[in-house]
Parts: sequence; structure tokens; C-alpha cells
Amino acid sequence: MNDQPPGFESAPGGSAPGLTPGGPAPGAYGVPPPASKPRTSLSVALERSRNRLMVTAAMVTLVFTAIGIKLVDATLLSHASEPRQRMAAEIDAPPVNRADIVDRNGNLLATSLATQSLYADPKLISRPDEVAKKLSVALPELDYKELYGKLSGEKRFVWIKRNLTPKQQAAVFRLGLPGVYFEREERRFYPASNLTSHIVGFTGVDNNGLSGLEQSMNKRLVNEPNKPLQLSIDLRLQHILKKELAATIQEFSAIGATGIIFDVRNGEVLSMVSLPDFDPHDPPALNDKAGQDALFNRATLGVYEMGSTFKIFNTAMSLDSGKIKVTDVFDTTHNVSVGRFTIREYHPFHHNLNVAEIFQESSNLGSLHMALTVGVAAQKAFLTKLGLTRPTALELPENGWPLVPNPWREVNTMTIAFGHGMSVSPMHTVTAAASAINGGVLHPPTLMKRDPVAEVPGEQVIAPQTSAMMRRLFRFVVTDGTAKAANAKGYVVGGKTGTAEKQKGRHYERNSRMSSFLGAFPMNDPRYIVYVLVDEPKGTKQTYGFATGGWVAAPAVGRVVKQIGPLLGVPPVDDGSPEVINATYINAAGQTTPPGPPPPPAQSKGSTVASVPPPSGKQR
Amino acid sequence: MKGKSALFWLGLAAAAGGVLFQTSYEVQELEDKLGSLNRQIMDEQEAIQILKAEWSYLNDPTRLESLASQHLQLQPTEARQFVAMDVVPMRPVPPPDAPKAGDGLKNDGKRDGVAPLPPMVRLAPSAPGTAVAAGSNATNNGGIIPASLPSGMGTPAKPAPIKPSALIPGAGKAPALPTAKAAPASAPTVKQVDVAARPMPSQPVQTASVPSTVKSLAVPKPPAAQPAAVAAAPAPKATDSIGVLVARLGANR
Repeated sequence: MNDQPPGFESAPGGSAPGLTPGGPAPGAYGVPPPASKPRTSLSVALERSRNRLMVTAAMVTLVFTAIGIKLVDATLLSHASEPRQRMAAEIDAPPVNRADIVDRNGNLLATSLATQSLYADPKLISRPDEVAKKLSVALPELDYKELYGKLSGEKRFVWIKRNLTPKQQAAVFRLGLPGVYFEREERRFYPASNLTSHIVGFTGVDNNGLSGLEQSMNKRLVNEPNKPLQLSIDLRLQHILKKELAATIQEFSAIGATGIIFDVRNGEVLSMVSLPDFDPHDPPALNDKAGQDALFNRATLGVYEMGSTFKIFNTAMSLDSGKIKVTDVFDTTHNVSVGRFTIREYHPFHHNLNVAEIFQESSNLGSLHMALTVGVAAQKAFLTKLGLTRPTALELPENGWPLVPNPWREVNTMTIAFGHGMSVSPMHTVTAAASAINGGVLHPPTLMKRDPVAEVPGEQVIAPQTSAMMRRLFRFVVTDGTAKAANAKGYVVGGKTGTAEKQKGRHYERNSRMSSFLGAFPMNDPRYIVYVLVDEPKGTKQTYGFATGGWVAAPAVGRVVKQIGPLLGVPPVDDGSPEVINATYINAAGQTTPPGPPPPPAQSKGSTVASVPPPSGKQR
Repeated sequence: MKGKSALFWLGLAAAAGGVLFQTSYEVQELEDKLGSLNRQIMDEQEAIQILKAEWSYLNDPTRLESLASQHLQLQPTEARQFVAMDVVPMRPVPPPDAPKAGDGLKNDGKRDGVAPLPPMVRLAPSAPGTAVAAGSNATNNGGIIPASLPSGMGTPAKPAPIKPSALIPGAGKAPALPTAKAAPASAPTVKQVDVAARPMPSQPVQTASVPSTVKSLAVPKPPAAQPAAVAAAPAPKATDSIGVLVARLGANR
């Protein structure tokens, strides 16, 4: 358009030199004279259409350029703008939405399995009666009437049956019913079943945890489904403990029992059994009395008056206070009357005893006087320090609050000294007792396997010397005291028995007891505590009618220790070797240095050289 | 020229289109394959999950224990069956002049060399009597022999934890046959008491086997030393590591 006018002009200009006088032959020159014609309507139209063409071309170019750029951008430059349709499946990711729970050795305790659930859309079912009939034939456990009611309703979604087995699924599939569909679901499966029911707990039909770790760790299990939750529990120990507890219950016709195996060095709970237990696949209904008893976790939720096992804390407190030495003698012959109660011994002593003997013979009066010497406030502070006034740090939702006297009077101090008037759970007792023998460090109990390199949380609550003395006293109870039956040769067991009368209503029942034994081994370097508590044992002929901790729980602990010692890798030692004797010796006079080279026969009952069987008169 | 270049570009475009289609079909096919593989992986993983659960279920300790009590003759290990490494004595060097009990010695050597389990299994039939018999046997062995006898004497005491029902017929005869001949030749007095004390039903080969192995062990020692040792010291000396070991294994019942 711009070059047109000059061209247009040039034609006349070009012809101008050609304008000759003899102008009659215009065709002889190249330039046509019509070009120099003035603007016609045709040329104007032509020019306009050209312009329009150019505009259109420019527009098209622009648009295609934009498309091209976008195309390059979409195909070459930006990969992430659109997700790829197919990605390779992750190899190590189990196709479930809830993490497994495994024991410390990797054995499965709980896992999720994919199953199919059957549901229906009643709107799409034209003949509910026929469908209901067919389904109730294929799945005999369904009720026809109920099913018919569901299928003829107005809803768009009804569950027919959750978690079908593959066989059932195939049976329903073969019916080919319209309006009936499968949905992939998950179902919790517990391979160990009853064995860990109180620890692992169970889930509801929608896979939400309803008890145990399934409940308290629900978030963790759902958020990290690919990482199994590893517990500190050892399935083998769990089995051994349960077996021995069940045998004890049967032998003494008890109504229940609980046991704990505890690592005193880091607070790991290696085993925890509460009997009776339940099947986590089919947890008992809450309105059932027996079912409630089975669901009840005696080890953590149950709080009991512990009886003489509390003398562990009383003795540790007395020695730790510095006011009392192990050789101090206390009055154990005169009963103490407080109000309408009289505190007396289980079996009376005819002479006063020192601290070691009080612990050995489990004297109530002696413990009482020791506690009074230390004082009310100091006792309260000490037991609080040991964590006996708050729930433990255990990860279970079933974590009992201790029953602590309020206000804490002198009479409470007296009764707490021998384990009455204050109720704590077995887990409390074990945790606190661990600190009494492991050098004085209180480790919070845990059900999670501790990281072997991480530092174990702990708090120094008892002086190491006191703890060392407690070890000797523990051993003394087993060698010469109330718990001879707990001895397991080679594992240097020590411990403390406990027998508490149960409170029924407003008074104590003489014949319904809680008999317990808190054992630890090996006492020269304590590593594990084995605790057994039996609920309402009845005496048998073999025990001469006794049902105290020394007769009921101590033998069970001895049997457990014998079996778990090899599993835990505790090297058996010679009970009579000088190192062991030196580390654990104490005698009735409170002396801790063993006499001369030939160790006392009472102490070294099983020396290596015994070619004659040891006198087993009192050993049961 | 113009036509040629147009043809060239057209051809190129066609080729590119062809390749593109080919590639896209290939990709589609691969994606289908990937999809089916993914489904397969999911299925396999679900199957693995189920198998794991089943494995754990079958490994339930309660079940294993009942199976073990049905099919095995093993019992829980006791503390006295564990021995520290430094207590275990070195294998004794057999003296060159022992032509008589040559094969018996070979037997010993083998026994000393292997782990403690095989002799236990092999000697299981040596307790064919009742439980009482087995017990007395063990205490006898443990009480009398440790002082006098060296290597391997701990092993006869070992069958004690094994139930009397632990009769493995074949196992007992294998070691018995070569040594049976040597048995009457030089059975020490100590052992004869032992044999007499044990009620032997009617299995001469097996009865022979026990004393014979015992005796062949005893051969390297001068026979005179035995009664003296028995009489003098029923307990092993502290320096007698073998005696300590034997006492650990057998005597501490």
C-alpha cells in the first residue's frame, strides 16, 4: 500500500521522459499508458481486500504462533503440568491403609488384610424379594426378613455384609445380581490372637482403634501405613508368661492373674499378660459381665493394694533418707492400734528385727516404724518421685490412676508402709521397683522398642548405694526369706513377695487375697524384672492351705525365669561363685561381707561341686 | 526445484507422522502392560500380606509348643546346659600307643570335635529304662566320674533332660557296633557299677554301647589312676577344667 503510490507515480514519471513529440505510438514503449489511469473503483476495492487479507494473515499467524509456543511449552518444557496416567507401583508399599504392628523380633501382632464387602443400591433392585432370597441362600448367616427390609428401602446405599471370605465372594459373584456390588475393604487380623489382646487391642468395623495400642496409636498407624509399628514385646516371653500364669490360676483356682516382664535398664516392657483375656477378632460385648472382666487389663488399668511388695519402696525410702541403716532394729513384737484398727503381723515375731530381717520376713510392724521414722511428708515426696501418684507413661489408653489417700495422714503413712491404703497398678510397682535395683534411675515404662543408640530417658530417684543395698535385700528374700521357691538355678533371682487382703466393701476379707511376687534377675547385675500377681488364689494341699505370694506367685516366677533366661541371653552364672556372693550377700545381721573363703552353706546352696542333691526339705 | 523441496518436506512430515503414530501406539501398549503389571504387583502384595499373616499364625508359640511336644524329644534348656566358652577344654591329643581301642578313640575324637548336640542325640537311647533309671544314671555319672575321666564324659550325663521316651532306634546302634567288640575287653570298674544299677530290659547292643563308649574314653588314662581319684576326691579340683565342666553339666541337678 505504501509502495503503491510511488509506483503509481513512477508510471507517469517513467512515461514522462518517453513523451516525445511523435506520441502516436504509445505501445512501442514498455510502460502502458492505462497504468497511469486515475483511480478507479476496482483498484480501490482490490486494495481494500488486500489489506483485509493481510490483517487476517497476521491474526492467523499470531494465533498459531501462540498455539505453537504453548505446544512446545506443554510437550517439552513443563513435564509436571499434567500427571502421567500410569506410574509404576511402589514395591515395598503394602496395599493397605493401616500399619502393621510387630513385636521386637518382627513377628506380626496385627496386620490388615484386603477383603471384599458387599453392598447394594436398592434403587437399582427391581425385585428385592428375589434378590434377598438368593443372597440369603448364598450367605446363610444373613436373615431373609432383615435383608428384604434393607433392599426394599428408599436408600441408595446399604451394607449387606462386610468382609466376605473369597469363597463367599465367589458365591455372590456367581449369582450375577444387578444392583449388588463389592467394595474393597480392609480387615484387621491378629495372628497372635489372645496372646497380645490387652497390649495390641482391637479395632472396630471401620478400622478405628477401640482399645489398646490400636486406639492410642491410631493416628500413627493411619498416617504411616508403610512403616510397621515395632513394640518392645517379645512374643516368646509373652507365651511363656501366659502359660505359667494360666497354670497358676488353675492350680490355685484363682479368678485372674497378671504378669509383667520388664527391662530394668531401659524401661521396655518385654511382656505383659492379663488373664482372663479375649479374642481381638471377636471382642466380648461390654454389657457382658465376664466379657468386661476379660477386657479389663489388670496389669495397667487395675489398681490394687500391693501388700508387702510396697516394702521395697518403704525400705528404699528409709535407707535413702540416711536416717536408717540396714542394721537398725525396730520393734516388731507389739501390735499398733490406730483408732478402731489394730495393725499386726501376718505371723507374730517374738523378738525385734533389724531392717534386713524386716524385709526378709516381711514384717508389717517393722515397716511401719521405719516409715514413721522417716516421716509423713518424706514418704509422700518419695512415692511421688517414684511416679506412684500419677498414671504411668505407658502408651496404653487403659492406664489406671493410682488411688492415693487425701489427705495423707499419719495413719496412711503407717498402712502404706506395708502396702495398704494406697492402690497402684502392677505397672507402677514394676517401674518403681526397677529404679530401686538398677542403680536408682527411674525409666518411664514403654511398649515401643527403644532405639538402641538413642539415650534412654531416666531420672535419678534413689542413690546408687541404696540401690546396691536393695539388690542384696532382694537376693536375701529368695535365699533365706519368704520366696525360696522363686530360685532359678544359675540366674540369681531376687525379689519380694506380697500378699494383700482384698477390700470388700468396708472391711478386708481374710480369704480373698492378691498374692504377688516381684522377682528380678540376675541380682548381681539386675537386667529383668518378672512380676506375677494372682487374684484370689485358694490354698491347696501342696501348699498346706497357704495362698500367700511366696507359695503362689514365687514358684511361677521361678519357672518363668528358668525358661526366659536362655531366650534373653542372660548367661547363667554359678550361684555359689565368689563374685556373685560378693555382689549379693547380706546376712540376718545386716552384714554385707561374706564370711571367709568357704561360703556359708545357706548362701551357696548350689555350688558346682555338689555331688549329693542339695537338701530340698524347705524348697518345695 | 520448488516441487522437489515440497516433496521432501511432505515426505518428512509423513515420515514424522508415521513415527509419531508408531510411538504413540507403542506407548499405549506399554502403558497397558504397566497397568496390568501394577495390578499384578498389587495382587502379589496382597498375597504376601496374607501369607505373612498366615506365617505368623502358624508360628504362634502356643501352636509350636504343642507341635514340639508331639514330634520332638526336646525340652526347655536349663541353666546348667550353658557353659562359658573358656570352660570348654581343648580337644585332648590321643597318645600314639593305643592300638587296642583304635576305633573307639576315633569315635571319641569325632565326638569331641562336633558341637554338643550330636552326642546328645546319639546317646539318647542310653536311657532306655524308666525316668528313675535315667535320673539315677545321670547322678551316678555326674557324681563319680568327673574326677577321674577326661573329655566327653559330660556327654553321658546329658541325656538326663531327654525324656525316657526319646528312643531313637537307629541312632543308638550306629556308634555301638564298632565299639561293642572292645566293650568286654577293658570295662573299668566304675562303669560296671553303673551298668548294674541300671535296670536294662533286653537290649544287649545298647547296654554295651554305653559302657563301651565310656570305657574307650577312659583308655587314654592310666587305669590305676581311676580308683584312686574316685576314692580321694569326689569333687573336681579347681584346676581340673574338664572336671568343672562335667560337674556343671551333670552334677548340679
